[in-house]
Parts: sequence; structure tokens; C-alpha cells
Amino acid sequence: MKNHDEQLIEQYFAKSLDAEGQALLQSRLEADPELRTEFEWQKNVAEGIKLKEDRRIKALLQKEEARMKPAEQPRLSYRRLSSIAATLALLAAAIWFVLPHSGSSDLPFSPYPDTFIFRDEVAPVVNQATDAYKSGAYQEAAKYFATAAEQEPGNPNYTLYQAISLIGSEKYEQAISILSPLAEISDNDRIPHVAQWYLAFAYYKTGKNDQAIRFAEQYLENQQESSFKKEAKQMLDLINKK
Amino acid sequence: MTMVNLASYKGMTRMKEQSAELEKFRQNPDEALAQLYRSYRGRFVQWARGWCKLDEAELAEIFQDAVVIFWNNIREQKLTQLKAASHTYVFSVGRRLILSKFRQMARTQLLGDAALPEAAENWDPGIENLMIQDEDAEMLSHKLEQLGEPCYTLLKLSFYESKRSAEIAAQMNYSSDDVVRTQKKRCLDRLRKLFSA
Repeated sequence: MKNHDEQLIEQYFAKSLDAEGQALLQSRLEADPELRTEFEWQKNVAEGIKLKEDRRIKALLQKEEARMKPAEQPRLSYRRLSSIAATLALLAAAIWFVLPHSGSSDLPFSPYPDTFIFRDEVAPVVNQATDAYKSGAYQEAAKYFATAAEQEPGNPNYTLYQAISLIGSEKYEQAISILSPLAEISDNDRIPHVAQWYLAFAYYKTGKNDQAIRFAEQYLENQQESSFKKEAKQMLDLINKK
Repeated sequence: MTMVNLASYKGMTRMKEQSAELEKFRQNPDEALAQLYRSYRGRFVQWARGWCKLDEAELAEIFQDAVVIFWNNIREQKLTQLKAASHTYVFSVGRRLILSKFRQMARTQLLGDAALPEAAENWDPGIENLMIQDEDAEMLSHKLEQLGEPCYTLLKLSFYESKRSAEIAAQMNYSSDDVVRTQKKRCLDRLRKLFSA
């Protein structure tokens, strides 16, 4: 193979042939059968490598798939399951009566579902934020939501999720300062009420029970948002028992 | 000072972010593709289940194929600019794969044994060549396993990553592009021998 032909083929595979180069390669392939055979061979090699690499990448994704699936558990009979459930219930009841109740630690944090921020056409940072949020990486999520809120200042959803993420990473004071104005929004069905619940929760966690009661009661009065009604009642019970 | 309205400013910012996103795949494809899969596999399955009746395992496999196609389009420079987020692109590839699977299933159901002679009459000789090419690629992919290093990397950089000899020389520490060309010829000859053995 001549040096010039070799360079033409190299340019073809490097995708750097212009229209003139393509026409030249075409005419050289038509004129020289040996060159055409070599060119076809190299195209086959490229196909073989692509096939091998496609399989490698698919195997990589299948490995991710296997990691995402929980390990298959041995099947338990209904009878066995009932007996385990009964034992666990007895154990839980025993712990409830025997152990002293420890205030704020017995009300766990529950993240608000991310359903109303999912849209296909959002900035990448929003997707990064929701991914981090869904995977429980709240510190990271709070940073991404803060950036999203800066990029779209008129959208209170990002600010709300930033605050919820701050609570998830136990930064209650910062969350309170962000949530307070959100709880005052008047022209939205959901955001102020969600903010009220998380304000109650953050105040409860910082031991400010008067404020916690105030916001929990405000939350319980609303008719639009009910995701945390049970938790709000539980919080009030816990405060009353103290 | 040049004034731009908010919509075009947002559009420009988004385009910049999306080019940066494609760059992430070019820089470190394995990690970026795995991350894309981890982040959107569940959402894809949920979305597709809303309008098709394939089971979760089938949809996961389709999503894997869609990610591979997405990567090949970036690599082959068919996809150089994203109009939306990368996962939106992968979802649309996945949708096409699902629809094509349905078409294939419908065809298989329609074509019984009785339809086979007619199908044979309409046989396109081009299909035969394509099948031979597929078989060659299949066999070559196995022979490439036996080729070993540094030949595989050199050929991969050249034919898969579309790099010129000068770039390969820099990346693989060869003294010049001529040395790369000579080495490439040797590797291709070795592979040819393995292929015809």
C-alpha cells in the first residue's frame, strides 16, 4: 500500500476526510482492487472492535443492574412470616415499655417525595440534585438545589428541597432560615404547608418545642397537604408526654 | 455591553451545560455511562411501563441497549450537541427500541410456516452480505481477544476512538507517527493470520 493511500485510509477512520478527500479515496478504491481489499479488511476490524466494546459496555451496565437488585431472599412460608411478625411486634412493644423515651431521636426524618420537580426539560444541575436527593446524599443535594434556586429564583420548589435536604443532613438552623419565608407564601396550595411541617420538625429537633407545636398545629389545620399528618400528631404527643 | 433577553440567556446557559455533559462522556465514558444507568434506569422502567406491557427485565435490557447506542452516537460524532438532558435522548432511543421490538413481535406472529416460501422469494441478496459481515465481525471480536497488548489498544485507538497516528504516538509513547503506522501494519497482519487460522 502506498504511503498516500495509507494516509487517506487513516483519515477516513479518523473521520477527518473532507469531501475532496472522500472523492479521492473513492476513485483510488475503484482503481486499485488490492487497496479495496485492504480497506474492507480494516472496516471489518473496526466493526469487530465496535462489537467487542459494545459487549464490554453492556456487561458493565449489567453489572450495575446486578448491583441495583437486592439479593434474592429465600422464600418464607406465610406461617413462618406470621410468627416472625408476631415476635417482632412483641419485641417492639417490650422495648417501648422498658426503655425511657428519648425526645427528638424517636421521630425520624422522612424526605418529601420528589414528584413535583420531575420534568424532562430541566437544567442538568436539577437532575444532579434529584439524583443526590433520591439516593439520600442530602448534603450534596442541598448544594445542587441551592445552585438550581439561584438559576431559577422564581421557582420556590428548589428552595424547599434545599431546605429539606439541609434537614436530611441535620443542619436544622440553616433549614429554619430558608423555610420560614416559604411557610408564609399565600398563593400556593402545597409549598407553605410542606414548609410548615418541616419547620415544625426542625424546631423539634433543636429542642424549640413551642415553635414546633405552633407549626405542627398550623400544618394539621391545612386541608391541601396531608403527607405528614400522622407524624405531626405523633410529634405533638411526644412533646405532651415530656 | 451586549444585551440578551432572559430566555436566550437561559438557552445559552443550558447549551453550555449540555456540551459540558457530553464532554463528561468523552472524557470518562465507563464511569459516566454507569452513572447515567444508575440514575435513570428506574425512571425509564417506570416511564415505559406507563405505555407498554414489557416486564422490568426486558425494559432494563432495552435501557442498556439505548445507553450503548447513545454512547456510539457520541463516539461516532453523530451526536455533537444535545437539545435536552442526556437522559431525555436515551429515553427517546429506548422508546424507538421498544417500538421496533413490538414491530418485530407483530411480524413474527404474522409470519407462520406458510409465509416462509414467499419470504424466501423476496430474499434480498444484500442481506446475505450483511449477514456475512456480521459473522466476520463476530469472529473478529473473538480473535481480538487473542491479539493481546499493545496491539489491541493501538487498533482500538485507531479504529474505535478515531485517533490519528500522531495522537496515538503521543498517547502510547511511540517515538513518531511512522512508528505507529509500522506497528499498526504488524498488528493488522497478526490479526489477519489469527482470523484465517
